[in-house]
Amino acid sequence: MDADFPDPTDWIQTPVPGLQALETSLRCQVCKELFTAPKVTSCGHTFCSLCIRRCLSASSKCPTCMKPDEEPRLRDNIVVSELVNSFDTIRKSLLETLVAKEEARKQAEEEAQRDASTRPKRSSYDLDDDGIMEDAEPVHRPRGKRRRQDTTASRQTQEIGPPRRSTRTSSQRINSRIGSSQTPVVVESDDDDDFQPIEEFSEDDDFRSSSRAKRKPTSRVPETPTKKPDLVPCPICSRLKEQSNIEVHVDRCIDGKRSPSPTLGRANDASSAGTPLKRQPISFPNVSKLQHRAPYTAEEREKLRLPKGNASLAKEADIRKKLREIGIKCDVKGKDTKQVLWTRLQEWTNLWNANLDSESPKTKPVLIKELEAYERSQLAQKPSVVQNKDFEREAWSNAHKPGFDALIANARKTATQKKEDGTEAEATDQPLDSMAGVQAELNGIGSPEAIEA
Amino acid sequence: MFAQKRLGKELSNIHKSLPPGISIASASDFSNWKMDIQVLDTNPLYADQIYRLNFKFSGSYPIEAPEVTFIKEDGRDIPMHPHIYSNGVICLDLLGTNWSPVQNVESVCMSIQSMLTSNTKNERPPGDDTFVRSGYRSPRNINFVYDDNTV
Repeated sequence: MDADFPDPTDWIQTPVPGLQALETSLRCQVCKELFTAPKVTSCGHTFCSLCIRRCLSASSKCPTCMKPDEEPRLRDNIVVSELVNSFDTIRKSLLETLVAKEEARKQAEEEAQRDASTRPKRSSYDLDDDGIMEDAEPVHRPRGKRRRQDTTASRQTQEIGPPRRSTRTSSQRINSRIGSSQTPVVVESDDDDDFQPIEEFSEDDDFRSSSRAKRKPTSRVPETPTKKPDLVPCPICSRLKEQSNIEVHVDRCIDGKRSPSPTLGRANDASSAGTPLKRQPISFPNVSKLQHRAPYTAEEREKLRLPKGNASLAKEADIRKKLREIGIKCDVKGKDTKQVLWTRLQEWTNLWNANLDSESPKTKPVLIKELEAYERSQLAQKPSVVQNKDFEREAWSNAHKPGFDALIANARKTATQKKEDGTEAEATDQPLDSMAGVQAELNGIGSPEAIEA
Repeated sequence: MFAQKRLGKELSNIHKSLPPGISIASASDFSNWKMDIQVLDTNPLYADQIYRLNFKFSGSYPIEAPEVTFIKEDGRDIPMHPHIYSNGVICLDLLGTNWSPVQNVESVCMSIQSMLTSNTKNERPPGDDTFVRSGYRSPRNINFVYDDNTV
């Protein structure tokens, strides 16, 4: 219960409470977590891939504005994904730094109050020292022998920077510190492997490479020119080439013989559409290949989004077959109904599709485990069968028909008995009450038999 | 799992700050919470009264709406309102068809609070007697017709 959840309200206690609003907008409104694989709806709201898929399968509306929407219209929100990634990496250190700073400031204030009572001339002395006095941290600056060495807070602040620095300076320091710590120098080993800032937009490429590119896009940009000072952009394909090799490269570019880089995605091709010389001339065999595409390979099939299907058109046997093909268990505890199987398939579709959107996809067995855990958590909290929203009334009333019939017959019997000997009024009180109870119960369930009876 | 994580987050938020007039009465697990609400203005119907709301969460929260009812407990009564039955069941579209996963416990409390604040009629919904006698135990089985946009 009392687990520590990272939360936007953490920032209220820091010197920059405005960060609360920033973090709130980086969190999904459904699960309240930082976005995982953010998707934007057609109305422009952003949610986690899995959250919005679950919401849309429950009701085809945007959770925020209630406008109708459908799954196929969801789009990746790449900027938000990058924002979340970079925010997530700095969040912990930023929070620690700011909290330490705030604590140091409070301590400094206390010290200042104590100081002020003992030594009233302090402020003029400080101004003489270096002429600059920050309002936020009036005391916590090195003052020779008077400086406190024993408190942990002041030691922490020392690590961050001189305590009298303003917020802006120290945050710049944090940024540079983090930047340097997480920036491995990218040395491009292959001469032909070029600088590709557009790589991250090719979503269908290998997940790992694209996610790596997303994490450190900023570090690569300034790094490249300093590492290779004699690079010149090719006028044809604008790749960076060594000056000595540029002429050979340009010749190859014009001839169109240059082998395409293995990491080049579709998006990159499209973006350089203005340079027609780079493209391979379209030949007829290619066109026919496009028209009759070869069947998906096993690898390609692993990356296909699953269709949603339609509950009323799907047959129970088909659902069962599909689930078995995936490797999901059916009929664990007795025979599952079509409704249960359908819900299971839907949840699997959601999990599967959301997993494909994720930057670090999980394997199929892990997903199946997740599906089972999800179903168990759903079952565990169902308060009662009758109160369940998709409770099957007819099945229930059929299964309990003998019991209901017996009760009704009993009630009828007592009623006729009452008519026969009206004198025994007190004896009939009890059964009549029970009948009323039965009626109420049946009304609550809405059973058709109850209305007839 | 999903629901518990989300409720955990909400709970830590609730412990940190709540809007005026709303307080937490008990939240010992992730399936049942009790919240106290209070109308803050001088509405004579509810002045100086505290009411207790019972939240019941299913495993599919927040995709599915929680069951929210008023309960009689610790001397707390059921408020008089043309959309609140005397057994505590609340007829509010937000808790039924218009539920959205972006809502949370806090926003539901605030909606109910404002629903009370804006009310001027000291009455129960029509057919309150029959409804209460019919023995509905859960608001989930009821198909409300949300016909009144004034309250």
